[in-house]
Amino acid sequence: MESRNLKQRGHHSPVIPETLPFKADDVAGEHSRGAKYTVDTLDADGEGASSKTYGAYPIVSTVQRDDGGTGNNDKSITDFSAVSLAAGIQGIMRSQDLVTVMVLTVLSLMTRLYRIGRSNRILWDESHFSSTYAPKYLNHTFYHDVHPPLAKMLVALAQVVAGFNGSDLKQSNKYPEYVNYTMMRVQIAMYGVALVPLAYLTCLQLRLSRPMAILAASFVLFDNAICVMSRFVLLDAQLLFFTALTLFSAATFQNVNKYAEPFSHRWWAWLSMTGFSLGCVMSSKWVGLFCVILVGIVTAEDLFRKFCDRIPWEDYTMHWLARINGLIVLPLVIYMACFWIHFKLLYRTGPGEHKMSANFQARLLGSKLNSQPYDITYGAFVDMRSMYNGPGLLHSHIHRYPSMSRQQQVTCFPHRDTNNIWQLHKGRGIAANYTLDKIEFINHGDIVQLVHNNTGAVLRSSKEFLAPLTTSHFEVAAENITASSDVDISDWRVEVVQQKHSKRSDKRLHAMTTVFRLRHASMGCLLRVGSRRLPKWGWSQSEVTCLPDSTHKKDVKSKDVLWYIEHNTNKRMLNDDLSKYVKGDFIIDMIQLNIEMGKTNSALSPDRDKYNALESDPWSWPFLIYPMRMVGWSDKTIKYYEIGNPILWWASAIVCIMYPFRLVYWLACQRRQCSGWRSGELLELWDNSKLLWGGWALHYLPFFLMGRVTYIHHYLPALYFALLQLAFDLDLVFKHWRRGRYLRLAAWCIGTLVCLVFLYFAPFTFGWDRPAKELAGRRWLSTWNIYEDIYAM
Amino acid sequence: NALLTQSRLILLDASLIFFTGLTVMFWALFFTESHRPFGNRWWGYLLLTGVNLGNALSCKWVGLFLIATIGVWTLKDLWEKLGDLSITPAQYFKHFVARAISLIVVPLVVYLFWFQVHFSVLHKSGDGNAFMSPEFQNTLDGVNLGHTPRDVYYGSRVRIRHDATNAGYLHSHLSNYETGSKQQQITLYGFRDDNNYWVLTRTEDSEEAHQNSTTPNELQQIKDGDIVRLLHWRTHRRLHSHNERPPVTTNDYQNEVSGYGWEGFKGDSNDHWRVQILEGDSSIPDSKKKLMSIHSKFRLVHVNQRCALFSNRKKLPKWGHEQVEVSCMKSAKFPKTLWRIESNVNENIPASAPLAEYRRPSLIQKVLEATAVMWRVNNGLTKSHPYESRPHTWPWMRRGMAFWGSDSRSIYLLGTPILWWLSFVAVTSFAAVQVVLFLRDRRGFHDRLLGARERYMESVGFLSIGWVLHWIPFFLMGRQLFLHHYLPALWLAILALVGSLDLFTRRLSRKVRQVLMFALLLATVRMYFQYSHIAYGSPWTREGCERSKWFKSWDYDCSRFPVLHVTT
Repeated sequence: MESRNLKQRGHHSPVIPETLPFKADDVAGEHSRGAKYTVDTLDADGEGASSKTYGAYPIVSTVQRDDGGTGNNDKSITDFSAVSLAAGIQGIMRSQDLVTVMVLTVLSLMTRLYRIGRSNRILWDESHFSSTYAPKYLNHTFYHDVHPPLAKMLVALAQVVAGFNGSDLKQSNKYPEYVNYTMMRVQIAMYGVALVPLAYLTCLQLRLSRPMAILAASFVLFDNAICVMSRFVLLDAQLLFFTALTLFSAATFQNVNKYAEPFSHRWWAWLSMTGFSLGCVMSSKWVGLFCVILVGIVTAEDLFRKFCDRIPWEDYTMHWLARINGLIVLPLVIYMACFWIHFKLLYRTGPGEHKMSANFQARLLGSKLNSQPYDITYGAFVDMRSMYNGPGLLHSHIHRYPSMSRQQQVTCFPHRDTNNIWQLHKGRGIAANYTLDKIEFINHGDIVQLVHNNTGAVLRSSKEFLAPLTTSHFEVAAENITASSDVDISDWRVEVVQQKHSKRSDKRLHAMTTVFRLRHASMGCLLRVGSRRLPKWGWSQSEVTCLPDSTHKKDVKSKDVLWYIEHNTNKRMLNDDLSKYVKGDFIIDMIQLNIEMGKTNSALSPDRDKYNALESDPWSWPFLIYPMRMVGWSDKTIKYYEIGNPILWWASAIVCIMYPFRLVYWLACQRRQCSGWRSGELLELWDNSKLLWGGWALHYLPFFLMGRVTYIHHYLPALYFALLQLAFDLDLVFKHWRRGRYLRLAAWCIGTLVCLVFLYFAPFTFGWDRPAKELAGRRWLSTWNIYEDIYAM
Repeated sequence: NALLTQSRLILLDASLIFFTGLTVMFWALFFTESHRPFGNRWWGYLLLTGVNLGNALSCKWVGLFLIATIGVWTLKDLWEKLGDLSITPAQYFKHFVARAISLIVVPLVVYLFWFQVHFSVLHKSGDGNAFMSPEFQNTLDGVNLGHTPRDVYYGSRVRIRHDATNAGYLHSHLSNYETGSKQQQITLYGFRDDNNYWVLTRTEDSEEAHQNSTTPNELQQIKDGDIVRLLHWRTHRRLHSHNERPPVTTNDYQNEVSGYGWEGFKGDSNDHWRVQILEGDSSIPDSKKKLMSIHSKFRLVHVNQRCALFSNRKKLPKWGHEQVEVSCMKSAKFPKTLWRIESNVNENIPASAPLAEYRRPSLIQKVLEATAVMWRVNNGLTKSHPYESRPHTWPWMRRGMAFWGSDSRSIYLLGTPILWWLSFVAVTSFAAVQVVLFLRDRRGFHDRLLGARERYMESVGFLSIGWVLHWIPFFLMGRQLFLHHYLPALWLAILALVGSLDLFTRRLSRKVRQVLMFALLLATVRMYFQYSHIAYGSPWTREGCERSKWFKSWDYDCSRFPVLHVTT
C-alpha cells in the first residue's frame, strides 16, 4: 500500500509544475484538482492512459505548485501530512496509543462509576425507561413509546444481567430492596465509559496531534453533563455511544477511502462498520437520523469528487453501489431487525396495543381481540369495523338525526365503547331464543338483523330518507323494532367477500378474518362509511350511509363498503386463540408503529407561555443558560443537577459558531492569493473538520424547527461533536504557533483547568445530599436554578 | 393577461411589480456601467436601484425577495472582484461600502420615509388603533390617553391594561360564566368604559390594622409585594380565583378568574392578589418599588393558588360577548402576565401630585412596532379561501382566480398560457444547462459556447435566481396564498424567457430568427385575445369560452355567457 502510494507520488509530481492547464484565477479553492489535471495531461500525451489515479489523493498535500508567487512553496513539507502518509493508515495507531486508551478508560471508569449506586431513587427519566418500558421486555407485554427499541432493549438486557424480575415499578419512586439497580446503572454507564477512548481514537483519525487528542478525550471525560447522563439507566448513554461510534467509523472510513485501495477488505470493513453504527444510532433514538444525514452529505461530496476525478465508469458505479448498500441498506436492515426483535419479544397484550391495528392486537397473547370465539353464530354480540381506514367501529347512540327520519343516529366511532356492540339476530319475523336454540352459524347469503345492544334499536335504512351529508345515498338509522315493525327495512344480507389468511374456501362468517358486505335485503344498497364527518349534532363522528345498488365493480370492491368483525362475544362458544388464524405482516406492523411514534412525538408540544423548569429552548443550550434539576430539590434528597462544564460549553459554542466565518475568511484569503495555507492544506483541514462541525450543526440547528418539547440533554450529541471541534481548533492554533513548541504545554494546562472546573461542579454530578444553598457560590449565571427559582410564586 | 387583470383593479400588486421592474432595470444599467466604477452614472444607477428596492419593500414585503436577489448577485459580484488582484484592498473596501450603503441603508431609509408619510397622513385615530400599543396610540389625533396621577394609593379607582397583547382592559360585567364556577365573567375589553374600573383595596386584616393605626386617613401608596384586593367598581364583585378550569383554555395549570361577592360581603382569601412589580421606567427608579400608573409593569399573583393573572388573546364564546378570556396561570412566563395601570382616580389626591403620561415613541420605534404587528397579522391569515392555491401549482397555472362576476360577464385571473409555460421552461432549462455545464467543468471540459456562457449567466442567470427567490420562499409560508403572488416571479421569468431565446437562437440566420420571433409573438397575441374576455370582463360566447377552457381546473364559469345560435 505504502509503496504504491509513494510510487504514484514519484510518478506524478514532476509532471505538475510543468503543465498547468489552468489560469491563475482558477486555482483558488480547487486544490483538490492536482490529481485531476495530472490525468488530463497524461491522457493527452498518451502515456498514462492506463494509470489508475483514484488512489492518488495523498499526493495532493505534498505537491508543490507554483501558483501565484506568494512564496509559500519553498517551505518544507510539514510533518502532519508527511507522517500520516509515510505511516499509511496502519500507522495512525501506534502501540503507545494502547496505553493511552487504557489510561483513559480507567479514568473514565472512575468518573462514571464513582458512587453510582448512591441514590436508590428512580431518577429523572429512569421512571420511563428503567421502570416502565424496559421491564416490558422481561415480561413480554406490548407497550408504546416515542423512541425506537434498540436502546431500551439494551436497558432490558442490563436488567436481565442484573437479575431483575421485570416487576412493575411504575408506582414507586424508589427501587425496592430486591432490585440490583447499581448493576443496571453500571452496565449502562459502560456505554458512557467507552465514549472517552472513542473520542481519542476519533481524534487520531482526524489527524490531531497526540497531546491534543488526549485533551479532546479529557474534554469528554470532564464534562459534567455527559458524565451525569451516563450514570443512570437512560437512553442517552447508548445514543451518545453509537453517535461517537458513527463518527469514529466515518472518520476512519474517510481515511481508508482516501489512502487505501478501494474495495479492499479494510475498506469494506470500515464502510460496513459505519453503516452498522448508523443503524444502531437510528434505532436508539430518531435523533440518529442527523448522523445519517451527516454521513450522507459527506458521502455525496466524496462521490462528487470521484466524479470529477474521471475514474472509470465501472469503478464509479461500484462506488455508488457499495455506498448504497453499506450506508442505506445496511442501516435500514438493522433498524428493521431491531423492530423485528421488538415484536418477537413483546408477544403479550399490554398498554400500548390500542395504537396498533386490530390485526396486530389479535396476535397479542391475552388481548381482548386475541381471545374470542372464531365462528360467528346468531345471537353473538359483535363489534364491526370498517375496512376503510379512519372511521372505526359501527356505532349508535341515543341521539337522533335532526332531520329526515329523526331516528337514532348510526355512525362510525374510532374508539372502543359499549355503544359499538350489536347483536346478530335472524331476519325479520323469525322468532328465536339465542340462549337455548341450537347453535346456528352465519354463512354467506344469510339474512341478519343488527340489534344495538345498549338501546335495543335495530339497524335500518329506507328509500324515504336520504343521508344527511351524502344526499345521493340513503340514510342509515336505528329504531326500536316494536315501534314500527311492519316494514321490511331492517334485514341485511351477509356477503362474504374474502377469507383472509385462510386456505379453506369456507363461506362461514369468522371474527377478524372474514371480510364481508352488508347488503340491504329489500333495497340492495350497501352499508357504507366514508371520510365525511357529521356536524356537531353527530359529535363529529363519521357518517354511515347506504350506497344504492350499483353496477360498478369498483364500488362493490372498494373498502368503504367492506367490514369485518373485530370482536365477538358469545357465551355459548369457547374462546379461541386467534393468533392461529390471523397472520401479520412485519413490514406493515413496523410502518404503522413508526407512524404512531411520529404522532406521539409531535403531540409532545409545550405551552409557550408556561414556564417549565425542566424544559429549555434550543437557543439557550450552547451557553448553558438553563441547567436542569434531575430530582426533587429538598434539602435531604441526593440531588443531581444536569449542568455541563461551563468553560467547555462556552468555548465549544464559540468555536462552532465562528467556524463558518473562519472558513469564509480562509477562502477569501485564498481567492486573494494571500493565504498562509499551502495548497492542499486547507482541503485537508476541511476534510478533517467537516465531520465535526457538520455533526454539531446537524445535531443542533434542526431543533429550532421542532415543535415538540426540548430538554437540555438533547444538546449532548451536538456537544460531543463540539468538544472535538474545540480540541481540533486548539490543535490547529498550537500546531502553527511557534511550530508547535507549546502544544504539549497547552494541552496540559487546558486539561488541568478543565479537570479543576469539573471537580468544582462535581457535587452536582456525583450527588449532593446537603442543602443546595451551600453550593450557592457555583451559581455563575443568574438563570441557574441551583438553589432558587425565579419563577417560583 | 394575469398581469393585465391584476393591474386594472386597485390592488397593491401593480405598484409592487412596477417597482420590481424599475429595480431590475436600474440594476441592469448599473452593470453596464461596471467598467467605470464610482462614476456619476455608476453611483446614480446604484442609488436608484436602492431607492426602488425600498419602494418595492414598502409596497409589500415580497420586496424582501427582491432584496435577497440583488443581495445574492452582489455577493457573487464581490466574490469575483475579490479574485481580481488589480483591485486594491482600499478600492475593494470602497466597492463594498458603496453597495452596503446603496442596497441596505438606502432601502431602509426609503422604507422609513414611507412610514413617516403614512403616519403623517394617517394621523387620526381609526379602527387600526386596537392593534397598537398605548404609546403608539398616544401619537394619533383623537386619542387622548392624557395624563393621570402617577402614584397609586389604596382606595384608588384604576383602569388596568394588559401589556403584551393590546387586547384591552381588565373588565367585568353582569354576565356569568356558563362553565366552571358560573360566577361573574372577567374579560379583557378593548374600549374604555366604566366597567373597566377597579378599586384597589387592602385585605380585610390590613384594613383593620390600618383603621386602628394612628393615621387612618392618610393616603398609603401601594408597594411591590403588597397584597391587595380588586373591587369591581360597578358591580361590587371582587377579582377572585379558585381551582376551576377556565372556559376556553382547559389546561390543568390554569385557573378560572371570576368576579365574586356582593355589596357588603367581606370577601374571602381567594380575593387576595400580590402585586409584583417587574419593570419600571428607567428614569423613575422608584417605579420598580412603588406602584405607579403607566410606569410600573406588574403581575398580580393569586396568593392561595400561586398563579398569575394571564391572558392570551383567546376569545370567549357568545355568552362571553366574544371578549378575551382572562385566566390565572401557574408558573407562567413573564410577558403575558404583565399589567399596567392606565388611569388612576382618587378624590383624595391633591391636584399638585405628580402626573404620569405615556412616552412618545420615536419613528423607528413606531415602525418597528407597526412591522411587528403586520408580521403577526400576516401570519394569522390562515383561514382557507375557495380560490387560494399552493405555490407548486403556480408556474403551470393549474387554476385561476375569480375576481368578479355578473350575469353575463366575469373577471377571472388567468395568465396567457404560452407565456407562463414557456417562461417556466426558460428558467428551468437555465438550471439544467448550468448543472450540465458545471458537471462538465468538473470533469475537465470547459465549454465556452462562443462566449455566450457568460452572457447567459449574467442575464438569464440573474433573472432565474430572482425567479427562484420570488417563488420558493412561498413554500415555507403557512398563510393563505393566491395565484397573484406569483406575478413578480412571472415578470422576471418572462424576461428570462426572452433572454434565453435571444441566446439560443443567435447561431441561426437572421431570417429564421425573425420568423421564430414573429411566430411566438403571433401565438401570444392570439392567446391574449382569446382570454381577453375574462381579463376585461367583456362579453363572450359560451362556445368560445368552452373551447378555450383547456383544463377542467380552470374554473371560470362558462354557463354565464350566452349561447351563440348558429343558423343554418
